[in-house]
Order: sequence, then structure tokens, then C-alpha cells
Amino acid sequence: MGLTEHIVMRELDIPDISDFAVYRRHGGWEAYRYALTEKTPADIVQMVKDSGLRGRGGAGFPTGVKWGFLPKGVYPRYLLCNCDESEPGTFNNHQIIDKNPHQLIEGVALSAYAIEANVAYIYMRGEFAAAARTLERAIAQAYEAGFLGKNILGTGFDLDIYVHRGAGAYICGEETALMESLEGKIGQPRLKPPFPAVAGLYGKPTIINNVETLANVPRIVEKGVAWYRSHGTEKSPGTKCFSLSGHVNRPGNYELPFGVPLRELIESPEYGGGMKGGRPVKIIIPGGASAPWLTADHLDIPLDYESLAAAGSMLGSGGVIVLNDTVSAPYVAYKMDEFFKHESCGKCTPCREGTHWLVRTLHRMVEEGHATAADIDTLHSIYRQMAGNCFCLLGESAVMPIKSALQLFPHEFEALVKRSSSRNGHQIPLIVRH
Amino acid sequence: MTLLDIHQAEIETILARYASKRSAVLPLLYLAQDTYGYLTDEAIREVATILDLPPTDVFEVVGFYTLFYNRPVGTWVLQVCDDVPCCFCGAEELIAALKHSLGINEEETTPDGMFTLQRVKCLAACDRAPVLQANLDYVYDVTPDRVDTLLNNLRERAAEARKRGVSGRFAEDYEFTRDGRLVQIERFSPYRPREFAGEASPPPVTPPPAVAPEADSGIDRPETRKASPL
Amino acid sequence: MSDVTLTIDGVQVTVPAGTNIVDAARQAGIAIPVFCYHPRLKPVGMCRMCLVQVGTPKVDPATRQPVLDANGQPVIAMMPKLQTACTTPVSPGMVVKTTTEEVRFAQRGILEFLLTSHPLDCPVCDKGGECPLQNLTMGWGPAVSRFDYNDKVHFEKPVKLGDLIYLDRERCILCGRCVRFQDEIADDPVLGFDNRGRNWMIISKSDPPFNSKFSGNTTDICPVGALTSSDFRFKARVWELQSKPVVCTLCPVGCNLTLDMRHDRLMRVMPRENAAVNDIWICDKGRYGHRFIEAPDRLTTPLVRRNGKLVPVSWDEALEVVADQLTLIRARHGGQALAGLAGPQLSNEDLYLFQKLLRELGSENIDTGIGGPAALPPDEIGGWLAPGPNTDLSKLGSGTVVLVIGADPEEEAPLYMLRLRGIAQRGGKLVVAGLRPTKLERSATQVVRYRPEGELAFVQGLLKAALEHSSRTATLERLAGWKELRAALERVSLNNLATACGLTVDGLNQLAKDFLTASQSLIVYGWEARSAGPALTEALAALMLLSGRTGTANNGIIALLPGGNSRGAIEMGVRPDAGPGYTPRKQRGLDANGIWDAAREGKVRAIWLAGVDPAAKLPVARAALEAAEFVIVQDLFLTASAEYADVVLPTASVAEREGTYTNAERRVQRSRQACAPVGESRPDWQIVAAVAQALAMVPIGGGRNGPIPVTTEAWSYMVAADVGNEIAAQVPGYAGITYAALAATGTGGSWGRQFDDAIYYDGTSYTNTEGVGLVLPALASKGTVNLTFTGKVTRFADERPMLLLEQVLAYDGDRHLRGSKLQSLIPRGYAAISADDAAKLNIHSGDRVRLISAAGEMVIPARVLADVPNGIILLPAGLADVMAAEIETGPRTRVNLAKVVTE
Ligand SMILES: Cc1cc2nc3c(=O)[nH]c(=O)nc-3n(C[C@H](O)[C@H](O)[C@H](O)COP(=O)(O)O)c2cc1C
Ligand code: SF4
Ligand code: FES
Repeated sequence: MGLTEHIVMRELDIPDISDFAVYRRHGGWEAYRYALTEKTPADIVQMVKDSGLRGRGGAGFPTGVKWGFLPKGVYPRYLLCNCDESEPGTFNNHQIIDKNPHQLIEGVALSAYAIEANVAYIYMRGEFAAAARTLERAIAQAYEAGFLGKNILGTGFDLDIYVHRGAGAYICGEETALMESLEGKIGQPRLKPPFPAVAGLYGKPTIINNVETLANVPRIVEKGVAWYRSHGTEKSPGTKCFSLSGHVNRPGNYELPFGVPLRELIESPEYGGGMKGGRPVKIIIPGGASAPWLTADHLDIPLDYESLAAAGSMLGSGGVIVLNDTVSAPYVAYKMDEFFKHESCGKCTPCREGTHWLVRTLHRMVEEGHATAADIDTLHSIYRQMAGNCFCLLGESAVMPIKSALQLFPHEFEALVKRSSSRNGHQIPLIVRH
Repeated sequence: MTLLDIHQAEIETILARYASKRSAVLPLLYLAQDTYGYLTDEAIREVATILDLPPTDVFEVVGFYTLFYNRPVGTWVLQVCDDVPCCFCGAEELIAALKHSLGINEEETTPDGMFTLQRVKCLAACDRAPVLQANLDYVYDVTPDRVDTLLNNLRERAAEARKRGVSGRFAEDYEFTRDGRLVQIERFSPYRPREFAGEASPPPVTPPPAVAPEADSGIDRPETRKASPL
Repeated sequence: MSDVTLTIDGVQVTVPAGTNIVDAARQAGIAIPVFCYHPRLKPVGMCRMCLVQVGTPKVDPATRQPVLDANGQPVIAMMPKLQTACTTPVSPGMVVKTTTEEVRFAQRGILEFLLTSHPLDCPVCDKGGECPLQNLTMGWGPAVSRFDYNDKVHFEKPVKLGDLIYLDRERCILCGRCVRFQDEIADDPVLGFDNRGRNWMIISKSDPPFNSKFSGNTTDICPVGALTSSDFRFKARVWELQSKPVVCTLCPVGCNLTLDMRHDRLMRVMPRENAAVNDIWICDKGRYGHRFIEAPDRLTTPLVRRNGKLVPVSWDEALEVVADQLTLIRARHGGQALAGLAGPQLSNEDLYLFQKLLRELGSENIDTGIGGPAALPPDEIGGWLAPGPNTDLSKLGSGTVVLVIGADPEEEAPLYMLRLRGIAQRGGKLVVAGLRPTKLERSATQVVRYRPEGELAFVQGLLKAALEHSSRTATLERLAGWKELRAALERVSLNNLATACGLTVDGLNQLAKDFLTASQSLIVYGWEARSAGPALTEALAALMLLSGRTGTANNGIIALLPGGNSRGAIEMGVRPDAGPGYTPRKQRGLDANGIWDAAREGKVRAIWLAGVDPAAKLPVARAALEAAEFVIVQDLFLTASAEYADVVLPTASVAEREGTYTNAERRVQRSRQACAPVGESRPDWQIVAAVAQALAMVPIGGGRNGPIPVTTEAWSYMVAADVGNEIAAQVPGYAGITYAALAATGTGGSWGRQFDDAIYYDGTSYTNTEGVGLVLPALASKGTVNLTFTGKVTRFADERPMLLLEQVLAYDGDRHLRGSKLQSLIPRGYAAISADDAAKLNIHSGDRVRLISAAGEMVIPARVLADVPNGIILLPAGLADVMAAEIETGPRTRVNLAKVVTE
């Protein structure tokens, strides 16, 4: 059940859409012009609210509701576009910027108008260096065309959009860490409350949304709420750009309406094209590295927020990693937690120490081949001691790979122990126990 | 010449974007890094002075973010993604090939100062694995057999790399064509379905861009207008 | 703020709204373990040690009423996750559980995590014995380590963070207390974190590293042994230490200290909590600057000059010489031939007896300090108009206006910088005015910067504006000189005054109005303001009087004078023009400079120096001492002046004796004895009393100038408290300030060592059980202010282009700092000039420059500083190698500046 028309990945329908003129010819910036000249900011907020648009950055929080949290009459306000996309297995923001940048910029501009912000920053992960230039150039075109700057279209609305590059830190995708980073500090999450809508960037009311979220906004305004809601499900309206990677024939981004079964994404020749070499599915990580794992048993789950949550996982960032039976579950958990350890900011104890301990223990088990039964118990208690106790969701996410691996594939850990103890001449390295 | 002398106009444009001077610390560190090759203690202190910040605060930032180098690095910093899913799609083989060709290990620089090799975490290009960044230029689909082509290409472009610096302020993206050539991806290029390895269908013809992409001479003259290359 | 009632572990507590759960529980006697939380710092919730279960009453969304259960009790909705108690504010009806299995599991987990990377080197760790990580491990921790020893992150063992502080990164639990202290409290953001994740570590990249006068406090609040001071590392185990309460005499704040002694040896100096004075902090000068107590070159016996050499003698012998000589000189030349100078470090008892004896002998030639061209008359304003009883700077916030003028609190009285900054942080108005930038300025709500010509205009402008807004001139009208001052003010227009100081008329009016209408207003001035001449401080006094609140708590003038007890010296009457308690004397004696002149003319023949070393700084003093017939030096060390002494008497240091000290706010504080006096040294007051006793016994007694009016009975003080009682009885204003009263003035604050300090870890600051001092009642309370407006300004003999200002430094040539870890931080002498002036003369830092004044010239290295204003030269006159007297013509001097090309 493919889309007749893409909402975000419009390059598939209009090959030259990354060109400003083409974007313009195909109705680009019209939603913005219409909003500025004929609608109040409150109208747009209402429209987004009615559309049921949910944040694509991971939490799936209704965007219109979030915009509604802004305290009345407090200015300046800021709009931040979160393009720190660093979650392993997630790469749709990258493609949106590369292939349909103007829609994102229009989305940012339109949303800034809706929340009455006069400055918006697009925070890009530092590695998106070329993409940052793409956006810069596209923004310049928007200025030239009079869609940005002072007194836009004679309406009295001013808006500046700036691209701000991070410098290599996954945690800066967390909204408050992003603000810290944008303020020139090390990117560590802030205490909440206060929430960004009340006190965000420079202590001012701030709305932060993901690239894909904002790229949806022009189409909602252009085509109307009913059209938008005709895609996806009741509670998860619209489409989602799924990033499919791993052992599939056709890894890539695929925009599908919410509710399409996982199997279709993986197997349809239009999308994943099935598993490489026809091997069986072993592990599916459906929402970026932070999502609890699924297995081949879950292939028929519809891809929407509610269904995945019901299955004990989450839709998250929509990065779907599919791994076949050649992988070792402990090894996947090890690699994943290595990521979290690498990206742990150091602020809170359980995340900083827990990820380190997990990785060291797993490293010994999977890389050095020394595993004891006690190690398995230790792994269990490390993640239990972390779960629910961390400062932000990075630490909580680090629990997922190891917890999933231990729950879904306990025998693989036991096998590591057996293999290790059956090795002749190999001793467990010195462990000091008091 | 101080950083401020060399990049006065650009620094002013950067500062104008933010309500607080401190926000300019990342862009200025990138500038300093490209100007001096890496972030020496003096360079970091210079940024602190320009922004009226306690030096410790700027050192903190340099230490926290992985794209700042407070030690000398090669002309090209090669950063290979070894994260899941890349590690199951050839990243380890790629790293092994690079190590073999360059004769160095991770976190080392070749004796001629040309290459520094690093493992990095997910680069958000999992569909184009194995993938690496060379001075933050993406290079997609770098299978181990393409390593030599890549390295030769980079060596040829060493002078250009030195001029651009390692911070990606003038980054471009690259990919390998099916016949193994390394080509620059045109910015604002029209959409082109991805070429899937092992797929039989012939590569689609690339239609010419509807509008000629902006002539990019940004390398020699840093733009200081709103859309500076930062 | 309204109060909130909640239940913690079944105990109902009522606390002010906004209190967090940790503090609320503490009030209920329930200990929630913490690491990163510190009551003086903003909560950050980083360490996760304080996780607890929190529930709030369920509210019916429709009716907005609490949902009740079958028993009519509110239904409590427990939050799904544990919450950090340090960051969660209380709310009405909240239910907190701190001992459930879930909470215990989480807390144990966090502890285990913290211990994974900890080196567990408690047996050699300085914090062992007072370490909350150790304590909590005993209480909560696992008995075995599951962490593979090989996985521990290893760092090079201690690295120097600065000259004073070492960092052991393996022990650091990354709670950020130190970093936050430096940012939030000290305003020296010199600490930070390098790297991230498990490799996160503390760094300091200031120049020099850890450049802060408050660095020692980080070792107190560091909850593990990660930060240790170079002064105490590996010196002692804390359980061997006995804490002795003393008062710091190194600056006019008078911080409460404990000397941690092992038997009779000083191991370390720690803050003793006193909310009104130093809270739980002290500056590094107080912490590290007390090594003089144990300096190997302390004097241990009396010395008498025999055949040109000072030789050790017994006290009896020495006292006999002193008594004989004083008697003789007095008999021959009269009491006016005697003179005495006492230092501002001495206690009230010492100072009181010192002037009492000299005056009984018929001499009014008594002064504090050493004189010299820059000497100023005793500061009366800071005494008459000092803030009243119950003054507590820690309570001030919004509604307060503080005017800091011509002062550099960071150098002159470091702890006051924290206190004043705190007032601004709590919403008070902090106006910092001066000729040059100071660190306090960064915390100011308003900065006023003027040129030297503008400073008097600024204060007069304020006064003139204030006069228009206030009708309370009655007090002023009674004061001598007020009519002239008023007339002078009438002759100038506010407009001209505003122009002269660079403010607008509106600005002056606003500031004056704010000052008068504030609920509290304080003026703090320092050396720079005083050096302008009395006219400036007099105008400030008039301004203060116009507020009508002088003498009440938290209202008044705080004068920053050198030394720890300058105020006490003035109040004890160690001055030529007034006796104890500002009572003018009928006959005025000679001040220090007068004494030097008179000695050279043969009019003063015996000079008694107690705790001062004029020969080190003043050529005139050397000549005078040379000329004098008899010189007594009473000191801790063999000073430069001792070269001229006929008798040298060894005194006991502050640690070896009891005494009371009066700080800049006129708070009298009692200091206890921590150890036995070194050798045969004695407290100064005892020496004075012993001299009196010896005098009473001199057989010849009278002579031409009458009998020695000193009797044995009148001078038989047994203990310091006897002198204290006499002060309380005799010195106006000191009524009731007895030792007993001083010991019974409360515990000084809320934190410090608590009933379960293993858990309520706020630092190693000690609870104050020895009294927190008493602020003296206002002298001016009955409207009997006895001030004179002289209108004098510092004048110059010539019109040389540059203005030389003395710069007070905290770390200077003070001989008390000898042998301390601070020594490496004391700069070599320099003259600081602005970058512009330097550029004009092609001077670079380190170049030698010649300063030429009407009085002479000096050659000294230049230091080019960005924040020195053009036309001004700062000269740190307190440094041992800066002989300011060579060129000074007064408190300020006009000089020519030239670069020395080659010599
Ligand atoms: C550790 C961490 C990393 C995150 N990284 C990203 C990211 O790269 N991009 C993103 O859009 N949101 C990221 N988020 C989610 C953001 O905090 C935030 O919820 C999101 O930007 C809100 O936008 P939305 O409402 O449009 O989803 C991250 C969250 C966490 C806890
Ligand atoms: S040094 Fe001490 S105070 Fe500072 S972060 Fe480490 S443990 Fe905390
Ligand atoms: S998190 Fe509350 S004390 Fe550290």
C-alpha cells in the first residue's frame, strides 16, 4: 500500500524538487504565503493541533499540543529545528535536507510564524557539514525571494533562520542539551522543569521540533487537515519516513503511512526488498538504537506509535535496523552499548558508570572470550540499577539493547559462558573480589 | 595575524546571529581549527579572548565534542562508522583495509601527516554502508576494494584539503559509482534512486540539473553573508 | 512564602514552600543521602544518590478536587519513577518514601556505580574519616566488589590543579560541587570538565591554573578525597585532630576559623560556620596563611642588646631593662618622650592595655600602623556609622542597596566579596563605583566608573540629590563643618557634578532615591576611597545619615581598613587624638609620622613597637629608631625594626592565646587558645601588664616628672577575660561585651556538622559552638554622632601627568604569610599601567620603568594590564620589595613615568 503522493519525500514525485524554482513551481512557499497573509498564528497552531501531527524526533508527542504550552505574551520566543540525527540506524533527516531542503525551510518558517518566533535555529550535527551548506544556500534563496528577513511579504512579520552546526555529540539531540550546546556550552541535558516551552534557549520560551516534523507542516497547511488525516491511523496520522538498514536488500528511507506492517517495509520489493540472501530475520530494532528489540515473531505489527508500544518496543526515530541470523545477540548488544558509552555525557552516575561497566563486561565476554555465569547476573543488575534512575533518556536507552538481548536470547549468553569455561588453559583474568 | 585579523568579517557575521556571544564558540572553534590545523592551547585561548569567556569554559567545549582536535591530525581525517548496522555491512572490513593500506592503527596518523584514521559512531548514512567521512566529506559505499581509489583521490586533493581545513566548513559529499569511480555528489542535484549493490537493473540516467548548481568558489573566498559556509 | 505540609516516611513536616525534599527531610530528622547536592549550591540532580519515591494527592480532573478513599483520606498517586529529592520541591500533601526496597535498591545501585571507578584507597586518603562516600558505603554499600579490577579507569595519580590544590582524578565522583562553587559562589569560573562520559575530569585552565582566592573551599565541599590541599596532604588523619576555634586576623572580615591541631601542632585551618560573617567559607589567605604560627624563626625568648648584640635573657631581666629605661627617660624628659605604635593584628585586650599604660605614663604619642607618606588619620566614620546590632549580610537581598565605592573587596577583605555578591544574587542592588575595575564589578547591578576628578563629584552629586529627597538633616545640622559642606554643595549644580562623574542628573537622582528608600542600605569603602582625602568619606557619611537608618541592623558604613583589628585599635584608643570609644583627649599626642620627626629631633626618646615593623618600609622610621634612646620591639619575629631594638619581647601568636577582635562591621568576636605559646613567648596584653608591674616596682619611681603612676594592684590581670571585663566596663560602647556574653551567642547557622553529618554532607566546615560574636550597639544611636566635616581632599604638590595609587593586595609582603603555601602566589613588585599608556611609551610587561615624583624616584618592573585606566599607575605598596615611601608625597602621588632603556 504505497503512497500516491509523498508528504515529505517529495523528491520521489518531483525529481527536481531540491531546486528552489522547481519547489516554488510545485506550490512551495504557498502555504507560508497563505498563512502569513490570511491566517493568524493561532489558526496555524490550531490546524497543526487538528492534524494530529506527532513529533518525529522520537517521543511522538503531539506537535500542536506542544506549541500550546508556550506561555502567553512572553517574547522573544525561539524555534529550534532538531537535526542532530545521530541515533544509530536513523538517517531520514539527512535525506530530507539533501533532497527536499526547501520544504524543511518552509516548515521552519511557517512554524516560527505559528509560534510567533522571529529567530529560528536549525541545529545540525557537526558531521552534516555539506548538508549544512545545502541548507545555508537554500535559506539564502528564501531570503532573496523575500520569504525571510524583515517585514516579510509586507505583513510586518520578521524572521531569521540560521544554521548552527554541532561538533560531534549524540546527546545534543536531547532537546535541553541541544540548547546548552547552542548557548556555547558542553551539551549536557538540563533539569526539567522548567520545560523548554517556558524557559528554553537563553531562558526564553522555545519550541523544538525534529526536521521531519517541521517538514510536514507546509503540507498540512497547504492540503488541509482532512487530507493529512486521510493518511496513517487515527492516533498516528500522516506518514513516517522509515530509515531501513541492516541485512535487507534495499536499505534506504521509505515514506509510508503509519500503520503499515513491519513485514511490508522489510519485504515489499518497493521497499526493503526482503532479506539479503533470503536469510531469516533475527533481530529487529524498530526505532533507532534506543528501542527495545523485536524478533521475527513481530513482523506483522503495524508501524505506528501505539502498536509498537503495545509490543513492548517503540517507534522512536523510525530507524528500523533488521539483522539476520548470522549476528550474535550479545555482540549486537555490545556494539549498541558501546555507542551509548561513547556518547554518555558524564553528567549522571548510572549512565556514566553503567555504560562503562556494561561495555567492559560485554567486551570481555564477546571480544576476549572470557565469560562467567556471574557476568550474566552482573549484566542483569547493571541495567536494573540504571533503569529509571538516569538523568535523561540516553542512559535509559542504553538499558534497552542489553535488556533485550538478555531477555530474548539468554541462551547465547550462556553459550558464551560454556565456551569460555571449556577452553583449555584459559583463565578468567584476575578478578579481585573482596 | 590573529584569528580576529584573518576572519574579522566572518566572525562578526557569526556573532550577529546570536543573542549571546558565547553561542559563537563552536563556529569560532571550527574557524580556529581550520586556521591552525588543530586546536592548540593558544588557539583555544584566543577564541576565549574573542568571546570574553574564561579559558576553562572553552577548553571544556573542545574536550566534550569529538570533532575538535586538540592534537595534531593528518591532512585528511578519515572517520569510519563502525556502529550497528555498518559493522554488519562491511565497516570492519573497510577499517582493516584502511589500516593495511595506510600502515597505521586507529587514532594514529600516517608518518607523512596525510591521514588520521578514526572509528566513529553512526554517521546517519546506514543505507550507504560502508561509509566514512574524510574531513567531514561523506564518502558513500566505500567497499574495501575501493580503498585505494579513495586514498589516491584524497592524496591528489591534499592541497585542497589543507586549504579547506578539517572542520568541514566547505564540505562536499562523494560517492562511488557502480563502476568504482569516486564522484562528487552535486548539491541540489535532482533525486536519483539509489543504486543497490547486487541489483541487476541498469543505472538510471542522471538528468541534468534543472538549474545549474551555484558555482562554488567558496573555497577561496569565505562567504560572510548570511549564508556563510559554516 | 507560605508553608507546605507533607509526609516523609510517615512523619509530617511543615516547611517553607520551595524547600526541596532533602532539606525538608533533614528538618524531620530523616537522612536522605546526597553527593552532588549542597545546601549553598543550586541543585543539579547529577549524582542520583538521593532518589526517593514521591507521590502527590490525586486530583479529579473534572472537579479539580482531591480524590478521597473510603476512609476519607486523599488518594496518593505515586510517580512511576523515583525522583531526585534534591531537585524536587515539596508540595502540599506530598508523600515521600525514603526507605522502601525500591529506594534502597536504587541507592545501593548508585553507590556501587560510584565505587566501580573509585580507587578504594581510603587508608592513604586525606578524606578518610570524614568522607561521605566512605560513610555511605558503610551504611548502604555492597560488601564485595563485583567490578573487575582490570576495568577500572586509571589516571595519573594526583595532578596539581594549581599551587594550592591537588586533584586525584581516580577518586573524583564527578559531582561538580567544586565547579559549581567556583562559578556560583566565588565567581571565579576557573574549573571545568574536560572530555565526557567515563573520561570526564576536572580541569583548570586559568592563568595561573586554579586562579581563585577561594580555592580551598572546594577541598571542604568535595565529598571525596579528590581535591586535597597542598597544605594538608598526607599530614594527619582527621580523627587525630582537635578543632580549636579562633578568629582570623589577616583582614577586617574576621572569619571564624578552626585550627585543627594534632597535640600542639597545627595541621590545617578550616572554616567555622558563622552565617553572619563567613558562612561556611574562608578565603585562601585565612586557610593557608596561618603557617607563621609554626614558623621556625619565631622569637622564643626575650632579647636584650648588650655590647651591640641582642642576647637572650630571662623575662625578668628584660622587663627590668624595659622598666628601668622607661622610668629613666620619663623621669628625665617627661611622659611625652615616650611613644608607642601597635599593629592592627593585635587583640582588643592587647591594644587596650597598650594605650592604657602609655597614657598612664603620660604619653599620648600612640598610633596604629607605621605612618609614612600615605598614612591617613584614624577612620572615624566606619565606627560612628557602622551597621547596628543583628547585622547579618547573609540575610540581605531584594530591597537592599549596597554602594561599594573605591574598594577592592576581593583583595582588601576577600570574604566580603562573597557576601556582597550574595546580596546581588538574592536580588539586592549592588552599585560598584571606583576609578578602576575590580572583580566585584562583575556581580554589580550597576557600575559607576569615573576619572579621578570625578570621584568627589560623584559622592557630592549623590549627596546633593539625596538632600533634595530627604528632610532628615537634623542630625547633620549639629555636626561641625556641615554648614560649610552644605554651602559648598549649594554652589555647584547637580548638572556639573553629574558631568564631572560621567553620570546623568537622572542617574544621580535615581541612585540617591534608591539609596534613601531602600529597606536597607550599606556603604562599603576601602583604600581607594580613603586615599582621596576625608572629603569623600565625609560626604558618604552625610549620605548615610540622610537615610535616617544608621545604627540599625544592616544599615551603615563598612570601612575596609588594613589588618584584622584596625577597628578595634581605633576603638581601644590606640591613636593620638582620642582614647577608648572615640572619646577625644584634651591633649593630642603625636601620630606615627609625628613620632618619627620628634624622635629625630630628640623629643621622643623611647619607642615601643608592638606588632609593627616600620623599619622594613620607611627610611624616616629607620632614622628615628636610630636616633631614639630606647626601642622596644614586641613581635613574633626578629623584624627589620629589631635591628634598632634595645629589647625584643617575643609575643604569642593568635593561636596561642585568647582575645577578642572587632571586625569592620563592629562585630566583636572571641578567639580561643589552640596551643601553648612557642618558647617563652607571651600574649601582648600579658607583656604590657608585666611591663606595668615591673614599672611599679622600679625603686626610683618619681624623679623630676613625678612618680610612676602605675600600681601593681591595678595591673594584676590573671587571664585575658579580666582585661575583657575591664574593656566592657570602661570602653564606651563595649558595655556587656564580656567573654561570657561572647561565648553564648548561638551556633551560627544551620548546616555545618549535623547530627548525621555522614549523610548531610555539606563540607568539612565545623559547627560553631563557641559563639558567633556580637555587633556593638551603634555609637550614633542617640543621635550623638561626633563627626567633623573637614572637606579635606588629597592635594598634590605638583602637576606631573600620572596618578599613582596604592593597590592593596591580599597576598602581599605581610610577614604573616611567610613560610606558607601562598608565598609562591605573592608577586614581585611591579607598577601596573594601562595598555594605552604602555603603548605610548613603548613599555611592555617586565620592562623596567622609572617613577619620578616630587619626593623622589624609583625603578620598578612595569606590568601592562588591560583594566588599568589611562593615566593611573597602580603600585602594590604592601609588597616587601616595593618601597613606596621613596616616592610618595601623600596617600596619592603625582608622578612622571619613563621607560628605563638600559642601565
Ligand atoms: C539522547 C537523546 C537524543 C535525541 N536525539 C534526537 C535527534 O537526534 N533528533 C531529534 O529530532 N530528536 C532527538 N531526540 C528527541 C528530542 O529530545 C526531542 O524530543 C525532539 O527533538 C522533539 O521534536 P519532535 O517533537 O518534533 O519529535 C533525542 C532525545 C534524546 C533523549
Ligand atoms: S573533585 Fe570532588 S567536588 Fe569536584 S567533581 Fe570530583 S568529587 Fe565532586
Ligand atoms: S542527585 Fe540529588 S544529591 Fe545528587
